Amino acid sequence: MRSSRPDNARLADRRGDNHDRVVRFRFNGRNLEGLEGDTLASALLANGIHWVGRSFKYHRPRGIFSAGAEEPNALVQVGDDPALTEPNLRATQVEIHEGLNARSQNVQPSLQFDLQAINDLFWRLMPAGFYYKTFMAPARWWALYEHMIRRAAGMGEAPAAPDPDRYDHRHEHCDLLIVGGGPAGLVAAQIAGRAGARVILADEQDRFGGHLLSEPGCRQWIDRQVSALEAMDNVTALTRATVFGAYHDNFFGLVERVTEHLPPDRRPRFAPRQRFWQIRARQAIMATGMIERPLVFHLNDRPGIMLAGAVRRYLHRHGVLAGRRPIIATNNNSAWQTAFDLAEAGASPVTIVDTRHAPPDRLRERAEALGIEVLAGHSLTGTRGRRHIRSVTVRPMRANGELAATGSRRIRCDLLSVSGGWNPVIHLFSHRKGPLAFDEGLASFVPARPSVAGLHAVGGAAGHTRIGEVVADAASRTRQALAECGLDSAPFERPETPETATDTDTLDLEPIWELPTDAAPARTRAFVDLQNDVTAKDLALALNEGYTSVEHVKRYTTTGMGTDQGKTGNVTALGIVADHQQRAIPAIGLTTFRPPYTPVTIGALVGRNSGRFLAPVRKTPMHCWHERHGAAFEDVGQWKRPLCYPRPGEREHDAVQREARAVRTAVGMLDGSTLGKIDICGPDAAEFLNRIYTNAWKKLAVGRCRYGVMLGEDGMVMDDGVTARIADDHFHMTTTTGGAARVMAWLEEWHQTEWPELKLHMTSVTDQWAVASLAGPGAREVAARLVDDIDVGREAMPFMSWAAGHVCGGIPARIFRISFSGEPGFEFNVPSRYGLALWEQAMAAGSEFGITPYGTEVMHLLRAEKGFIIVGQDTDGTVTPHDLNMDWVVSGKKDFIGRRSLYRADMLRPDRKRLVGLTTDDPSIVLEEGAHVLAADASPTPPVPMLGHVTSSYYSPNLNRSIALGLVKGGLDRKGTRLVVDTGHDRVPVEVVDSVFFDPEGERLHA
Amino acid sequence: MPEITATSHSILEPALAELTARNRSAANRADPLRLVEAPPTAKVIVRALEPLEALNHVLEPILSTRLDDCPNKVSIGKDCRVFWLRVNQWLVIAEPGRSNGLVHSLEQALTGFDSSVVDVSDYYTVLELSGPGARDVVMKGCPFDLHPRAFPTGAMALTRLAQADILLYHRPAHRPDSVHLDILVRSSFAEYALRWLHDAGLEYDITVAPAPDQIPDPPTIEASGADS
Repeated sequence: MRSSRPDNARLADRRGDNHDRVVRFRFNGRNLEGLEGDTLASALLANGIHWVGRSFKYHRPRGIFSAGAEEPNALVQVGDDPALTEPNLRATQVEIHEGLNARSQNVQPSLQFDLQAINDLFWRLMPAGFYYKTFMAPARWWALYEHMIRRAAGMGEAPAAPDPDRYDHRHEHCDLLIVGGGPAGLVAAQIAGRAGARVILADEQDRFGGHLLSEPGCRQWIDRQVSALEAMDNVTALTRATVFGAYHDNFFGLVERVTEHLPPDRRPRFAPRQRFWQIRARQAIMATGMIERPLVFHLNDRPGIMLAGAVRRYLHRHGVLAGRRPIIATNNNSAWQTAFDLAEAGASPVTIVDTRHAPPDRLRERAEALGIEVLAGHSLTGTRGRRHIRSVTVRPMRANGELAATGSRRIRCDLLSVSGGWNPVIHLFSHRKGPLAFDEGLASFVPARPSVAGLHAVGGAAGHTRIGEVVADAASRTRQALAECGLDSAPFERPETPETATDTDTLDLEPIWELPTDAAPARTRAFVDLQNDVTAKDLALALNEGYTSVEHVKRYTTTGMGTDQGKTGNVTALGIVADHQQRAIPAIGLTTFRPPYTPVTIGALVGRNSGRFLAPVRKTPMHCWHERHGAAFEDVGQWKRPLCYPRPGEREHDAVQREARAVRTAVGMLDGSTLGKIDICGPDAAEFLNRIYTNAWKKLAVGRCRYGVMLGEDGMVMDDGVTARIADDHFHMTTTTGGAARVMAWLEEWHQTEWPELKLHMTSVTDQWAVASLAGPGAREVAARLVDDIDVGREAMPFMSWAAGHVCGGIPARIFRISFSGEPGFEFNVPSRYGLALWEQAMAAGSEFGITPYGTEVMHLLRAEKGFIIVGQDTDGTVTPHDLNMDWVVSGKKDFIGRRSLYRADMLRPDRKRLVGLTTDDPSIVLEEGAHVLAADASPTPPVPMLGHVTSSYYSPNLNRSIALGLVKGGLDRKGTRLVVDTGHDRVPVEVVDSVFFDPEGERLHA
Repeated sequence: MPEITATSHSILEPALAELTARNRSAANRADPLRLVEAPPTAKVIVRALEPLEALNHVLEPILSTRLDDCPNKVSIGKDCRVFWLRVNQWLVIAEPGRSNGLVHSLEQALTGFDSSVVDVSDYYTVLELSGPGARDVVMKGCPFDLHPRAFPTGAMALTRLAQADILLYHRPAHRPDSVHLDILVRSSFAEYALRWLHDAGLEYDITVAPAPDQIPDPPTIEASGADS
């Protein structure tokens, strides 16, 4: 590939802020050179390249239009790596680095030859609302249409592989956040910094200066301010940092681009590509300046048409002359400075087309001195040049704004630089619902009052155009903000004012929203929103079709949407809508600005909270043992719990069957450390439990345990568990693994808000205790080998008792004699640092009894054999104890939370769903959990009345058949009857049986 | 109480071994960013709904400092530090080697008060992050204001580290230009917090120290509780 002639538009005598170092990059496959400090846009312009993309809808050639975040046209795809490529980047903000590879998007196969450019030939068929009207029917084809439209309108390509870059977060707090590092922001930072405030100054560009970067005389002023700020410890000055959103209580979102401007080999290894700052500021200064808006005229979208301020920015900041035969078209004074500077830089001829009939004499005189032709009171009636602007036609206007009958003239040019005025950047103010007012002088919206809830608009953002006013406003508002923080800013004298081109900073703007043209109305195409290809005619169409609200006009035409969110087009669109409706702009209002100000990568928002940090993984003290012994894990809330322990070559199902048999025939051990545990202490603890649980607690003896169920106020089962009486005034409660936090909050709420008179205290001790549960006929023997000083004999330790002492060589322990499997069970609780030692010793001591570690799936299977419920599996928030045949756990003699709800009419319906057992006729069929239970003679076609559903289903190795629990309407009355369970493709006959499948008499428990 | 012959383990042992092996050569810097697990010591949550004066009358001889009802206050005693957690709730943490008898003494002293004394020695794992970048690392995931003006030496807060609840304590650092943060996290979240901190610290050349010696401070509570 041939290297292009470098820097043909770069002026030899000025480099702006660029360094000398040459940077090689690629654009659309061409090898190009720029200078370090260039943006992609300035480097392309330096190479004489304006045309960089095609438009969204009509695929018209488009060029670099602006020099900042507002860019509607120059969207590029950066990077070829399918994991790293990024679409929709604004060439005006991408900094070039060695090896940067960018290309135009929305072109197929190439920028120069784009198949969809044919759209532009049929532009009359594709007005606003085209998609809505065309792709209405048939409705079922929408999926196809959408696919085609998405492809046709694609704004670049999403990466195809996971993003390997690091992104990070940072939380910051400050007294004063200053958004924007232009003259106002720098003055504000200076004052606040000297007052000793904690200051964050953020600017989206790679250096501070803002608007002053276009002012050649301000370099030293900027450098003085910046070096003074750098010397202050209390000032954090961030460049490449965009404050994209303002939220309640002065909370701000900021994205800092940390390394992406560096060539890959110079990026520090672990530094993030971007850092998302969440900033909580006591006060904030919005020094975001202004964005120039274009003029709307016939064929105003060609490459080579640029905002006047941008042309000046490229000239002074990057030493790039964007055109040698420029025309400057404007309705205000500011663009005249661009003309002066271009003429002084050697452009010739320079022509000014001003829509005003009487621009100020001082400007005319200066133009004359520079040899600039001035056409006052002229309209731009059209342009030529498909790939780059070649000429414009102009025509005088009468005082009433209509075109004069004669005087049309065509002028050759290679650059048309336009200015329709300046819009204050009020996005953040608008995010905070700050009231806006229409400023007649600017013909734009400004904050209606200086601040909203601690966010102060200053300088250009507040509507000031003259540098002296900008500085004075920033200084006084900053002092006020500091006073709000209780900080005194008196020691700092009047701020120094930078020297700018003050001839043109009074705008004398005469708004003109759509320039008149002599082109036939049917042929006129004047673009309002360049990114979305919305023309003035589209706006008129929307109004004609009845969309009168600007919010509707916006959505119907898509004006102001897309990646630029109408930063250049919005106010102009309002002006045109207002003209059509013959109303004033303030009367029609403004569409709402919402965050983000510029697009934010999803990666920055996610930060490092992906992959293994997506959610915390909670582990028990014995986790490493489970890992070493091949456990298959399941997620239970945030916990990792062993599901079962497959041996080499063993399937999970077989491991579950083996472990379940082992518990019934020998002894098994389960890691129960995840159980929620709450220490409840105080003289009223028993009374408290009596109100929380459905059963009676006051008479529970010290040394005993009891199973309890707690209900919500709606009478539905909320949690269950075993609670032990440690002492008269001391209980150890257990909850389900998943319910621990909810139960703790529930108990605290009742105690603190309803029953503060009860003397008790609760403390979560879940992580304090490691729990190993021995279960099975051999459990007692194994337990006996582990204890130092605790009698685990039948008499000393009956079912539902507990004892304290020491185990495994002095480890303090509590042993609970409880069971969730129907087998004798001993639950060892030890301080968690000894969990692993306990587990290992138990495995060693149990080996001669055939001890088998078992997982949660086995625990679930064993309890299902016994018909024990699991809250959250067999219940779903609509199930009462009665529904579960657990009336035995509900006391009739006392009040408790949820009791009254149990006597509502609906709770007493005889056909409520009740827990039953379900056995398949074919014992090898294991039902699907969640499957619908139907009547045996249910209709094969809908509607099919549903009787209930399967809640738990397993293959039981101890019964040698499948078993299931289900909630079935009027279930108990159906015992012995036959129903069917729908599997989705089949109906399986089942018999309704008792929910206790195994050892219904409970003889094994007391063995 | 019989002597304990069983081995205790940090829940972080496997993770610490793995991360220590990944340490880069930064350890030879004068003041590297270091992440270590503190040795286990006694930790007790005291809840009491009684006048402070009465509580301090019985507790001061044990703590050699006073409970304070000032939020986020840390009181430093001879053998322990007392952290205000919530209204009427404090966390007492023994200094290394000073755990013996702390829980029992507190239980004895508060008998008869509307109070509870709960051993949480194993409930929390303490991670210590020290070095010049310590604050930056925690700021990646903690919404609390950690600026020295807002969170000076000696300050503490109940806050968040990414998705884990933590108690953050700004311990006096060994060097004046350094920062030392204690991060208390529930043991089951400790590995998440450790790995998160390590990953966050890579940008600052973090090093991880091996698991602490588990011997010095055995638990002092009798599992039977105060009264049985």
